[in-house]
Amino acid sequence: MRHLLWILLAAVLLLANVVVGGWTEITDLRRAREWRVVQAGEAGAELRGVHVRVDQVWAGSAPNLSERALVLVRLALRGPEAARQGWAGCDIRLRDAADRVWLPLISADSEGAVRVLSPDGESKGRCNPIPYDAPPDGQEFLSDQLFLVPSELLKGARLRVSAWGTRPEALEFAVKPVLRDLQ
Amino acid sequence: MIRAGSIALVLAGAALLGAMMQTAPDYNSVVQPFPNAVAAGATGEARSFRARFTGLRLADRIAFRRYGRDLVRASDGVFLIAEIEAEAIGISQRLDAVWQGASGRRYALSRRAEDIPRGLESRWFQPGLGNHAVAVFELPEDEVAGGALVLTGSFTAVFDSALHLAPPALPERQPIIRFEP
Repeated sequence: MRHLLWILLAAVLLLANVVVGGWTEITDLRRAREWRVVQAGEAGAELRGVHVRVDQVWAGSAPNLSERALVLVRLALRGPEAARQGWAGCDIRLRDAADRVWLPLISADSEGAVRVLSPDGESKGRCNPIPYDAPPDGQEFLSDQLFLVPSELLKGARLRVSAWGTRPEALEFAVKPVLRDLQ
Repeated sequence: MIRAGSIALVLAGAALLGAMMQTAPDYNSVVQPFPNAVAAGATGEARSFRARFTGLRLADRIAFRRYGRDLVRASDGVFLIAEIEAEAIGISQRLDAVWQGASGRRYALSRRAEDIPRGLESRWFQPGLGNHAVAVFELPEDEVAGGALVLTGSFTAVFDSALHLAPPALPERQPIIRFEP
């Protein structure tokens, strides 16, 4: 009887260890994966209290490098600050039908390329949902993301947007770039 | 008799545990990428990228322009300039490179050549797009022949391959190589 108690106690502790360890792992995995992807239209969609909309997408190719294109995505976010806190570290990626993923360019040259591609010659900066100069709640604010992709992607790319506080939920938008001549 | 048997059992268990402890791989080696040897001129493919060793140059000095200033670096050894062409497979990524010398020693990218034009440390590789990059190492001359360029993904090399790219034919050593933007 005493042995049986020890065995039961060991089994309970083992189970508790598995549950606690597994819960931590599953929570981390949920924060890293996009399992529930909602397709959003041109009007945008709301996720965790923040409205997200693709404002404009421009694309351009250099004449001597026509197989590759620069894509500039201007994203608009709107929502109260408390909700926007959950959007910290917003993650914006382009995808194709084969699930290949393109990340935004981060380099010394990308800021200049954004200014060349955007018709207003401005760069709105990378996605930061809690900027120091945020407009009043209810107003949209913009950010610019630059991607280098194969030109064939311009026919059917999709933009997926999520953040640390939204995953495993994410929003996905069809991307229809306005082509710009970079000559 | 029973007591001797119990002692033998405990000793056998201790010996088995000791053998397991001695042969268990350490954490560092468990998370190393799998080495994948690639012949000179061939394209190697890892899980997350493919790459080819396209050119090798040796120089006593290198010259480049950084932040508007012309810089010249000299070496007591030799500058090895490895030119590669690479492409990401599933997701945009950066690559890390080391030169594994003939002695087995590994040389990291030279920090004295940071921010050279087309430098590997600042290069992103995109799916579907081949991209050229240059990796500069500073090492003793006898580590060049018989060495290999080892390329790994920058972010998650675990469960991926490390491409050991054999170099093309060794070139003549040049007094100076200038990197143009």
